[in-house]
Amino acid sequence: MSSAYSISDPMDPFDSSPPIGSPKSLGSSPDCEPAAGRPTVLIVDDVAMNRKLLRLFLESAQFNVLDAADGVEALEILESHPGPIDVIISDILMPKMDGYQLCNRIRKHPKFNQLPFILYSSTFESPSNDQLCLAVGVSRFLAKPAPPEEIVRALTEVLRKPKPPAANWVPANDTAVLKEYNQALVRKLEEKNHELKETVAHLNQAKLDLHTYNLELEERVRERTEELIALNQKVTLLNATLEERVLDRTSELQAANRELESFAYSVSHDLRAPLRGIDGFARMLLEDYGSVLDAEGKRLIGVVCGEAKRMGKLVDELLSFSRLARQETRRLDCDMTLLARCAFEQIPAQTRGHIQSLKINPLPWVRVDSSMIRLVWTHLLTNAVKFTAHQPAASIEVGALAEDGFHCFFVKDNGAGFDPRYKHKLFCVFQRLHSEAEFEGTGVGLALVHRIITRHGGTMRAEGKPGHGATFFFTLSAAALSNAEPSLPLFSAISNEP
Amino acid sequence: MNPITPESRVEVLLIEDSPRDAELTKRTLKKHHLANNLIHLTDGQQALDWLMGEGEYGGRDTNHCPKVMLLDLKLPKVDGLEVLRAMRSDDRTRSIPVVILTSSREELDVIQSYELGVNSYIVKPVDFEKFSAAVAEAGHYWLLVNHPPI
Repeated sequence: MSSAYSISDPMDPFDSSPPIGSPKSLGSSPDCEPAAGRPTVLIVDDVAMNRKLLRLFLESAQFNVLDAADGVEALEILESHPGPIDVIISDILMPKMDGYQLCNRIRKHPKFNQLPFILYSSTFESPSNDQLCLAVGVSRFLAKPAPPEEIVRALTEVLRKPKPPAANWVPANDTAVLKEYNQALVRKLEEKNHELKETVAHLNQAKLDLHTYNLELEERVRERTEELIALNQKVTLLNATLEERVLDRTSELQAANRELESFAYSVSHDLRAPLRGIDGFARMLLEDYGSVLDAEGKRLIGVVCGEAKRMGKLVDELLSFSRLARQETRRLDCDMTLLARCAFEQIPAQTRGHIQSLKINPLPWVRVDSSMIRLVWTHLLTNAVKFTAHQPAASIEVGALAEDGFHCFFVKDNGAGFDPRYKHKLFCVFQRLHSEAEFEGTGVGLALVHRIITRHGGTMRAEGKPGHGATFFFTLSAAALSNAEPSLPLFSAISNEP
Repeated sequence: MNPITPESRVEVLLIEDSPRDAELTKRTLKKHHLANNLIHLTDGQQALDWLMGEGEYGGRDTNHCPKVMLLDLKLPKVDGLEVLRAMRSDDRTRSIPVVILTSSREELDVIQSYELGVNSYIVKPVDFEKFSAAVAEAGHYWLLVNHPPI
C-alpha cells in the first residue's frame, strides 16, 4: 500500500492538477470534514472490505471519499449529499441495483447526467462488455484489481477532461440497452454460476474427503483403542500370572539343578569306579605276573594304567567344570598377590623346578570369590609352568595393568606359546593347541578359568607366538573393585631364583 | 566272604557293592596284614542285618563289633548314608568307627556324612597306588593305632 500514495511522477502532465502523490493527508478524515478544493469520489461496492481499502487509498491520494453499498444507496447519496460529487467509481455486480443500472440511471438523471462514471470490476472485459459500457454511458472501465496509480490516473483523466458523455454518447434506446444489459448480465451470471458450481464441487469434494478422512480416523482410533485394550488385558493377565510363572520357572530351574547334581554325582561315582578297576587290575597283573612278562609286556600294562589315570583326571576336571555352574560366587576382599603366590607354591616343587625366574609384581586387592580366583591362578600358573618345561631359561611374570578403570591381570611366560590362528579355541572345553606327546593336559583348564572369569563379569584374552611364550590376560568387572587396603605393604616382587 | 569262626573277632567290616573295588581293598589290606578277620557285604540291607543280628544274620551275637567299618556310599537297597544313620541311632552300633570309602567328592555327601558322625571320609582315587596307600593308612590307623571303646 505504501507505494499507492507515494507515487509522484513529475513528468506526468496530470500531476499538478489533482493533488495526488502528496503524502501529507495520510490519515485525514475527509468524510467528517471535506477538504475544500479536493475532488469528491463516490465509491459504490457491495463488499465492505473493497470499499474500505479503496477509501483508504483514495483518501491518501487527496480525494474526498463517500461510499455506498449498492446502486440504490449511491443514488440516495447523490440526491442528498450537500456538496458536489465529482466522480463515481462503481462495481458491477451488486444487490438491489448493479453498476450498469446505476450508470444508466445517472445518464438519464437531469442533474447528474454529466457525472464521470468509472466501472471498476473483476468481471471480464470483452467487446460486448465495452458495447454495454458505451451504451449505458460509462466513462471508463477498469479491471479489478488495478494498480493504485492506474486508478488514480483514471480518476484524474475523467475529472480533467469531463467531456460531456453526450458528445460521443448517443443514448441508445432503452430496448437496445436493456437487451445489451441483459446479455451482459446473463454472461456474468453464467460465469458466476460456473464459478459457484466449481466452488460447490470443490466444497463437496472437500466435504467428501473430510468425511472419508473422518471415517478413516474413527476406524484407526477404534483399531488403536482395541489394540490398547487387548494389550492392557494382556499386561494385566501377564502381571497376574507373572508371579506364578516365576515360581514355576524357579522350581523348574531347581529341578534342572537337582538333575544336574545327580548327573554329576553319577559321573563322579560311576565313571571313576571302572577306571580304578582298570588301573588296579593292571597293577595287580604287573605285581603278580611281572616276572613272566618281558619289557614290552610291562610297557603295555604301563600304558593301560596311564590311560586310566588320564581318563580319571579328565572326569575330575569335567566335574569341577560342571560344579562351577552350580556354585554361587561369594565375594570377599582378597589379596591377589597372596592368591597368586599361594597358587604357585601349591604346584609340586618337582613340577616347577625348571622355573628360573618367577616375578610376581604387586597386585591390587579385589572383591571376588577367593576359591574360584585361586583356581584361576592355579590353572594359569600351572599352564605357564607346563609350557616352559622345554625352555632352558624358563621365566614367568605375574602383574596387573589398569585398563578402562578396571584391573587387568596377566600371567606371562617365555614357553612354547601358541599359534594365534587358533586363539578362539583356547577357552573351549577339550580344545588343545598342543599334542598330548608334547604337553599333557585335558583341555579343561582354560575353559574352567574362562568360566570363572565370566562368572565374575570379566573378560579373558591371550597373546602368543609359537616358540615365543604366551601371555594370558583377565579383567574383572566393577563389582570386583575393592576398597580394602592391604594392611601391610604390598609384597615386593617375589623371586624364585633357584 | 571269609568264614568267621565264633571265636575270631571280626576286625574289618567292608560294605562295598563293586566286586572290583572290594578285591582291590581286600588285596591292599591283606598285603599289609590287616585283613585277617574281614567280612565283606555287598548292600546296605545286608550290612544292617549283620549289625543288628537280623534276617539271615538272626542270632548273631551283636556284642561282637568290628574294629572298623569301611562303608561305600552308593549301595543297592539301602545306601551308605542310611546305614550310617541307622547305626548312629542304635546303642549297639553307635560307637563303631566308620570310614566312608567312596568315589564321591560331592560336598553334600561329605557334609552329611560328618553330620551323621562318620569318623573318616576317604575319596577313592582312580590311581591304584594312591588308593592302596589310602586304604592301607586307614586300616593301619583304625586297626593298630586307634584304641576302640569296646
